[in-house]
Amino acid sequence: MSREEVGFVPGGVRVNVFATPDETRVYHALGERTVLENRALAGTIVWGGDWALIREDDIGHVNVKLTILTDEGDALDMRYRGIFPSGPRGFRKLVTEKPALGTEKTPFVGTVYTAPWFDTTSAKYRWLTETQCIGIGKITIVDSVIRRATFDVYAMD
Amino acid sequence: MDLTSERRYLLPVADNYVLSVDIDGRLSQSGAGWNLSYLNRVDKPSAFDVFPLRDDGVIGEHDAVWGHVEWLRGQCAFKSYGDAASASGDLLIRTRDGVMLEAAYYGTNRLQELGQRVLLTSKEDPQIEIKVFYWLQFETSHPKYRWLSQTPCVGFGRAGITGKAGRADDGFSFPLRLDVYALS
Repeated sequence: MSREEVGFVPGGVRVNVFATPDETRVYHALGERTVLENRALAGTIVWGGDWALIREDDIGHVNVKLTILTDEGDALDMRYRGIFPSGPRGFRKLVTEKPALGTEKTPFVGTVYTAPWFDTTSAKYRWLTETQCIGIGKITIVDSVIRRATFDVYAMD
Repeated sequence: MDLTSERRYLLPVADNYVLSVDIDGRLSQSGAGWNLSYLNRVDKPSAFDVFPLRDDGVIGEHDAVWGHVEWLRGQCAFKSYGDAASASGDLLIRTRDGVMLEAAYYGTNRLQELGQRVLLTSKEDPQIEIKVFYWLQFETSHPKYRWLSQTPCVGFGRAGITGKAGRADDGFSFPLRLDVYALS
């Protein structure tokens, strides 16, 4: 993942985090080919970023847009907002504290809660555009830098 | 139109219930989309429209939230096909102890089959059932309710378009029954 540090803004710290193209997989964790009687998603994130705000009140706000290219060549737009409760003194730990949060040996792992929306013109995945989803994920932080993010996405139905 | 069935379904199996919201909003057409509005014009000291379903004094580790929705403003945009619409908006809650809570939401309104067609073409007063699935983010400066700001929430509920409210330009009445659960 790459990042751009916008820095201190009113209310917190802004940072943009971008997925490494074509190195992020989207898949069904159980290997199923169908989900809710529809085709399961399998593909790669070809573009994506998080325009995040780490707030002074120990809550991180994520604001993500990304594009998924399925293995069959369908493009899906995915966007979501969410929050990352960073815990007591989380802002200070993430932004100002030395030593930095998380090490290679003991990375800091936090939970992120999101609510993805999908958009596509592909008829196969139209069901996703009509489904509100929630995502629960883990982010791994080393030296106060997000190293990795993994999410499980569920339908609200 | 039964607007309570979602509660019967979820409440017994969920241990992360937070609060419920019952309001009768108004849905009016605005270009390609729809606007949802609600304005509490009367003082309602006893009939709270934000409340815990079981009249509990405590929800989890926190005092239950009782209050009124002061206003709601939202948007609703249908997909060009189908009966799902993306929804987003904000509502302001004044708790019975005088604290202002703002909640931003977004999610999906799923109309009954052919609901969009009925809404757009029906010459009779429509009766359309809607399932709503929302993500909510609360904000407040008050320490008593700060836990809500730190809690990711989802709302499951029912709404309805129950008929024209006065002239067509005034839109449709839109009763909304939403139950909010914590994700964490």
